[in-house]
Amino acid sequence: MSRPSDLVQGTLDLLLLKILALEPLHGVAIGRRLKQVSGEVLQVSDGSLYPALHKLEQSGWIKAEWKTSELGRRAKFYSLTRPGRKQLEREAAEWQRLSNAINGVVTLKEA
Amino acid sequence: MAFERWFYIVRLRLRSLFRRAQVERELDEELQFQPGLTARAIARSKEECRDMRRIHIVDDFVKDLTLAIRVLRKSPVFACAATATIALGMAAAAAMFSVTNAVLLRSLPYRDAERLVLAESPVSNAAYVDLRSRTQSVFADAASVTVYRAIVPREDGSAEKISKGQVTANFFRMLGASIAFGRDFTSADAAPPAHPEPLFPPPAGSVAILSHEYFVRRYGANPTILGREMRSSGQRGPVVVGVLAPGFRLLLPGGTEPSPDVWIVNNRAYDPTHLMSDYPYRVIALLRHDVTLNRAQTKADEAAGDLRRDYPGFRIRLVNWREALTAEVRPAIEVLMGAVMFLLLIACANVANLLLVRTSQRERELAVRAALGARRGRLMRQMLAEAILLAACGTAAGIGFAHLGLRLVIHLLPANVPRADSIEIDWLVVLFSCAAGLVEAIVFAAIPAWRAARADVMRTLRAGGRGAAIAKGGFLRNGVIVAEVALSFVLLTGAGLMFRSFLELRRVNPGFDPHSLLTVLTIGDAHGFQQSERRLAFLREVQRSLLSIPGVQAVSGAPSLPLGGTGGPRRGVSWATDFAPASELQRADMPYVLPGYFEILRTRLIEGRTFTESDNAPDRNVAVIDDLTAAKAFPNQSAIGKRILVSPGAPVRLDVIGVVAHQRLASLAEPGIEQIFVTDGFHGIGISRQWALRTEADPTKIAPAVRAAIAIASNGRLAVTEMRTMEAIVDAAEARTRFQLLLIGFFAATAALLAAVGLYGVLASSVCQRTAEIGVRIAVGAEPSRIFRLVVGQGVLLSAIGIAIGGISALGLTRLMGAMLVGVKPADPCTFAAMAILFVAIAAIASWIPARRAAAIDPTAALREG
Repeated sequence: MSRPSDLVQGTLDLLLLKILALEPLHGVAIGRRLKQVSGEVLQVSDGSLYPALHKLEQSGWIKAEWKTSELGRRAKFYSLTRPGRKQLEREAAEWQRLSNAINGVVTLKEA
Repeated sequence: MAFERWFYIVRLRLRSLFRRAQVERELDEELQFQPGLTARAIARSKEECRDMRRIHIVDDFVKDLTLAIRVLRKSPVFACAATATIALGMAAAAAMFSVTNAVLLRSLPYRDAERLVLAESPVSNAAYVDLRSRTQSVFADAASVTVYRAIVPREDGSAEKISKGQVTANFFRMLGASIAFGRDFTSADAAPPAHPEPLFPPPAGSVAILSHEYFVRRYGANPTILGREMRSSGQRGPVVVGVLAPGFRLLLPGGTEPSPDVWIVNNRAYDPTHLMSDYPYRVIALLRHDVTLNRAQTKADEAAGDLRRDYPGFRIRLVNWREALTAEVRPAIEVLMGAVMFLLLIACANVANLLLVRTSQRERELAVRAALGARRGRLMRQMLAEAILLAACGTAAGIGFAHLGLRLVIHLLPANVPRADSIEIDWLVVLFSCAAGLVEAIVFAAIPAWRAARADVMRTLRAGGRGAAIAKGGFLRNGVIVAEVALSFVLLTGAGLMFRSFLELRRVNPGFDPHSLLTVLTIGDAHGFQQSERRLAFLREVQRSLLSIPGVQAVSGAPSLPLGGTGGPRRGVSWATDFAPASELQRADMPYVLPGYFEILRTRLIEGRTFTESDNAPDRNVAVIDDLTAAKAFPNQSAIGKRILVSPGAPVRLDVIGVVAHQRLASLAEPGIEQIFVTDGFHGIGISRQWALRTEADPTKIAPAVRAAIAIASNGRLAVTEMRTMEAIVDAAEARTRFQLLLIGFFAATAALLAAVGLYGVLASSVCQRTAEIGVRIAVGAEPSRIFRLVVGQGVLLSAIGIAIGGISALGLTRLMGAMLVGVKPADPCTFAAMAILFVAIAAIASWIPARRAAAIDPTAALREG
């Protein structure tokens, strides 16, 4: 899965929220972390990562802070807000429901 | 949680709006290091990030508004005319709405104000106590209050007129009035005194609470008055126990009395023998939470039914306090508010018309912009931005004018408007004006915006000249002008009806002659005499001394003179002819008068005689009736010597000794019901306190002599509280109609002016557009006078259509004015016809200038240009 449009609609928000729930990160690190934790399966292009982050920020789910990165450069670090944490719970639950349902269908025994 | 999220969002939006440069820098910095992407991809990514800020609506609006300011600054005349028109309509609307808001809409300044009800007519203390104990299932609480004036002598020998309120101990608690210093009344304060006191003045009680205003005025806000007696020149008074918080006011319906300065507690003992003989107390009750007014009324009827066994006709009608307070003025204010909304609509139509003409002139500019790629939505938004800008300026100016004009309106308000002093431009008025302004902007932007959006680019650009575009707008503009004429014609009709009412009112024969009459209202403890003989003798003494003033020809008096509004006891009675069954009792007013009353008022005596001095005694059961009563009771026969039965309390038979012309007692506009006059001495009352003096010359000149005479005759027991000529009283009775006439006349005049200006504008642009055509007509031989008639004819035709539509609407709408009119029917054909003629004349004048211009067109110049 290489192109973000291949990601199931709306799941990018969920993934970003989840990554940021673990620890505050800057944009480049978020892309790297996503690739790493998904075993190189999930990847988001740089071109769509930042708009997605800005959308989450403008919706009040995450907040940003300028800090010095591990390489000693100034970077914009994102972290979850309290409403964002709630939103993550909601979206995760919704994802569970959906994926369970899809699983149920996909694993039907063929007669 | 949701709140916290909005905190982040609002902060970010504001930051995007106002710290734009920094936000952009941060975006650059964040997105600069992306090795896998081309510069183009980075730029696209940035643009997407910007879109996420969701401020482009605001951004675009700011751009539109900036452009609108530039455009309007280029045509200052148009901008000023439009702004002034809106400001005019808005000023009237804002001022009228602040009156409506303060008088009708705002809830009363009491706790649980909407659950407070009032017994419509005053009752006796005994009836209040009975009522209260029998209605506890529907009322959470009930209190009573009565207000009277008192004269307090000052140390320096002058007298101070104050208003006293006597209330039950629970009164302030029930209304939620707060006490600034000291304490509220307690039930211990209300314990009846050991020795019963006379009915009037009400027993003083031993404790008092001051209004904050009086506390400041009289005692310089010195709190040491608490716990001290209110002594004045050696006379003992009640002990001050508390001071109310500032601003507490008693708002009773029909009350021209000021709110009390001093409050004393009602400590009157329950005395059922006084059930019907003394009833100054207004009952105020607080409905229980789930109880409706209807249920409370049913319960009150039951309670009154018990009392009715002894006193036939006794009834208690409950009304919502606020509604009772505003009932009298509500119809007029609502009609005036409606009129002002019409005016606002007319102003709106006028501006729409101006904008239409302008859009036509700008058709070419708009077409060029459309050709260069401006979307329709963008052009419409641009129109809307200009409209909103105009409306905003107009509204702001309007609110400013309203603020200035409001003082004048308040000054002109008739005295019967409650809470007039609280009329102000508050946030609700501003909110109302802004909402009205926004609606107005949308209305008058809609038509031009729609036209702008439908602009036919190719044709406009090809036509090039000014002509083609204006022609298309003609139909719309004519429609707007017809609507405008119709609206203002409705207003003019209303004003015409008010004017006729005013004329009728001036022509009303009040049943007395108000010229060269001075009326004097006295107050004091003359009524403290226990025996009625002594009271009557005392009044005779006062009368004699007034008569001895040089220049005074005659003196008489009554508890209350006509139109006096002093609230003297003028009772309603039930009456019937002697032989009629009890079921045919009818209502009448029963004024008490002193001998000489009819002579001094020059009321026409139709037959029989009037009262003599010897009639003015308790055992003389004689009455003078008015012609209405005579016609009803003894049709086609002489009433003299007949007997009628009246029952103010227990039924009494009275001999009719005279018939006089009907007097207008309570209101100049309303004839009022039948009248049965008895002497002040009847029932042994003797409570006349308003005197009428007929003078040879200017009645106001003898004022000092009157004060002196009364002071001497009464040995200081009486003081003059009010001296007015009868003409002034009649004038005040006309105040309401005059005010309504003034206001609606102003609205109508403004409306007619706006409509005339609108008509002029339409005709002028029409002439401008038809220059070529008219030039051809003149060239082929049309007389200038024909051209003149052509243009005037167009103006008159447009207004005739408007008048027809307006006339039909007015027929329906003026019916709402019914309560304001005097002696004129809402559909008065005379007024309608007069206003139609007036309006056609206005239209003809408005068409004059464009018509002259058309007639003066030089055919050669016109044809060359065209």
